[in-house]
Amino acid sequence: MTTAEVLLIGVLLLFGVGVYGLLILRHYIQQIIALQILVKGASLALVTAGYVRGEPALGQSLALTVVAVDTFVAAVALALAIQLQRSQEVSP
Amino acid sequence: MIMPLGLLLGAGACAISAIHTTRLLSAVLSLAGLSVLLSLLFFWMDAPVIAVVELSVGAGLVTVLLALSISLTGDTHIGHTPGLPRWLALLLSAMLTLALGGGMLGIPPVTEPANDVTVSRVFWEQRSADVLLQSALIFVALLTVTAVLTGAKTSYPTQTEPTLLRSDSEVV
Repeated sequence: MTTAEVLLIGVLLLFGVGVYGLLILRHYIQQIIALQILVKGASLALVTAGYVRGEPALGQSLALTVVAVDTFVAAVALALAIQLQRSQEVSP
Repeated sequence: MIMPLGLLLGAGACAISAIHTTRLLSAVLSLAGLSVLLSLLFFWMDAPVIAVVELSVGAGLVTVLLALSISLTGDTHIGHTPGLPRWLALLLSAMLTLALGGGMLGIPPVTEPANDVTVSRVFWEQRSADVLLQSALIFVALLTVTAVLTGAKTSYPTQTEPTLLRSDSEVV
């Protein structure tokens, strides 16, 4: 088994765990954590693709964009989760 | 070969632990451990820029954001009632994962690697439009977070309005 195949298995493991978590979890913050795992799998896939193709700079720059955007997605999602929690505490 | 295998096994264990734990704070700490192991793996793959970003943003900033939101909402025990049936979730995630694996297997290797290209050159010259869009996205996200978090204070005091209306009608 080559290094690229090992990395591919790692990508698929993280991606599969993230998708499974998004589908079965119901708590908002846990869903955000599952989304983070999925996106970490995607960024590992980009870096792995750059590593395999011999273009590590392109893979790193794409993964950098993914990490930055995912951080702000997490920030907005956490703000919405806090708001939902507060509204559920007030409304009943 | 042993090094990436061990790091990936640890990362997978952290990911599964983050999904299956019943405490939110434990899930956040497992996610931070996953980020640390991934950054070590990136560094092993000769990708130091993304390794540093993953360590500082993934294991640092995101962990702080998650811990802050847990402290605001409370670290509750999580029930085990799944959103979807587990067999259906397993089937869907396996299908999506196999589709991604099939797509990645088709990536052709390059015989002559381009070693003279740096990350900053790719980022600022070849992908300048992406950088502009990313900067705009950062401002939009900051405005959204500010609007969402400050909107709560103004949108929920509606419980006092019925009492005011009732007292007005009683007066009339």
